[in-house]
Amino acid sequence: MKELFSEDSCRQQVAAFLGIEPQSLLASTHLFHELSMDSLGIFSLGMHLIKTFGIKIPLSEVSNIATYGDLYEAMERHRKELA
Amino acid sequence: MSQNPQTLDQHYDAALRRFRSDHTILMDEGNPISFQEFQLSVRRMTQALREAGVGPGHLVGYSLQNGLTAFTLPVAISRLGAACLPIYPLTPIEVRFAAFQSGRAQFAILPQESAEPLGQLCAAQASPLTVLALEDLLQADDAPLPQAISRPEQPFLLTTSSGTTGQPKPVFLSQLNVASAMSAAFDLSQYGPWVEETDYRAMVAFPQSTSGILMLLGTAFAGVCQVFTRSLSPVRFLQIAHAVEADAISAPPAWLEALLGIPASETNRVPTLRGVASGMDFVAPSLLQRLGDRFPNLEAVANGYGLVETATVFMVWKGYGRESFAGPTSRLSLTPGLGNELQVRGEDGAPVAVGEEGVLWVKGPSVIKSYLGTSEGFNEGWFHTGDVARSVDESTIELRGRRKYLIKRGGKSVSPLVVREAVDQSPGVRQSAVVGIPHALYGEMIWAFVVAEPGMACTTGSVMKTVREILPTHMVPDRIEFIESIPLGRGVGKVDSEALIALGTSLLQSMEA
Repeated sequence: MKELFSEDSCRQQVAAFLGIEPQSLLASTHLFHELSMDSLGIFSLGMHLIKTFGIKIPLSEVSNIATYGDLYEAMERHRKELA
Repeated sequence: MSQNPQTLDQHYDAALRRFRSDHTILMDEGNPISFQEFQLSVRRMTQALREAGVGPGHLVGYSLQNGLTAFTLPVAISRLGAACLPIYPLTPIEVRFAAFQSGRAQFAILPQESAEPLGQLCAAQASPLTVLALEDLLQADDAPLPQAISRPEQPFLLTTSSGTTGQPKPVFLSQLNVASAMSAAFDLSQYGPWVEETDYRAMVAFPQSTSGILMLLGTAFAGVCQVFTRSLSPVRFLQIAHAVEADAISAPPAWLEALLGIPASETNRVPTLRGVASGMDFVAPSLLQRLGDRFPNLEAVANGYGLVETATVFMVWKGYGRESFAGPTSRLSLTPGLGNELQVRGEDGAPVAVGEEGVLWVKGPSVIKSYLGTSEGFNEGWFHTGDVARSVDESTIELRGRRKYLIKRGGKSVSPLVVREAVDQSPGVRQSAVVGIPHALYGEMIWAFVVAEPGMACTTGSVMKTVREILPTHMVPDRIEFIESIPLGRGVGKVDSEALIALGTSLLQSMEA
């Protein structure tokens, strides 16, 4: 059973994967510089979100993600495509 | 000058000088076995084997249930200068026959009920194997024990290594290897203030594994009463430990986990328990802490490390007092006084500097000279263990894990043990295992499989929060997967990494489909 995608649930899931509080995750939060993610970590986060929400982001797009805002927008765009 | 015994016979002769005949050397379930009974069994066995024609250089296969004879038979075989090939008794008779054949054993000893079908197999295949029924051996006359004739370098115990390269290989432990292992086993049992006590009782699990046999004989001949069970039942194990008022238990981590899964009752609390010795696998500090919660008088813990190629235990970590239960259990030192040496070597084959990581090489009385039929893995007496370690000093390392299980993620090697140690520190984690799952992009992904403590909040978020505080970014698991139990291999119950890799690979395929 996939979780329903929303701004709140996306923030909750990303924060959980990163082991941080959801409120500390802003659209401008840089995943690499501020949260010390590496590029493979971003892919792992992507897989976590695919598993949770059933929304797929192509690898080519994942490589362009730098901030939490980029990630949310990509997820939202592909959710709409699925709908 | 005192010297460690160089053969099993020297260990036994020292015991003959040390113990009174009424000394309780073993307990078979709850029943005490006196040293007098033990000696009588050894003498009868020796006499029976001699009458059957067993002598120097012979290989004697056997397959016996847990019981006095399973431990007196190796002593008798040693006394005649012969060697042992023990085969686990629950193995199908055809497999046992094949093992005796491939080891080129001249004799095979089994209980009557198994000796008959084995004899039929021998007759059908014109095998020269002489099959002896255990019951017949026990009818032999009591006769004086002959003088020991075994030499330290003589092969004594034929067993199989699970293989540092993943390929099982036959291994012959020499008398010196076995004697060193017995000394190391005794040292491992000396981890509390009770070492001088004469009625110290320790429960031993898996007494018929190679390490179990050596552990049991080594500690029993040094004065620790070893208590064994006839069946591999954790429930029964605890009940007997309670009934005999055991001071200590020695068992692999998976067995200790199984004990913790049994609800405490008036017949299994074991309030006398003060020590736990483990080994054969990574010992998580969280396991020790939960053991401390379950057994309120537990005050000392020990962890042994070794491989079949090192005749089992040759390095130890010991902790005394509750504060020591937090580890580090993977910081291991050579058993003192045995004369073994270690080196942590880098890719170039040269020893690394203190604090650096490399592969552990070992040399000394505990270490075999080579595998049967190949010198692979050996160089000028040094054995390449295949285990990754950080050098601490000339006799101490921090074990990082088996090289074949190191995770190669994005060009960096990650020790699953270090990741697991961090995962285990997360609240609500009952047990975990970490493996590398092959992936085209990563090389391997780090997957942590977690068994949550029932009733406790344990989520991806809570685990990630803990591990990100402890580990550098490249070591943080790529996925936390919650499962009901960690799969264990056969035998002593090590974590079945291959099963977890297969599970992770299948889950990954479904996620990417």
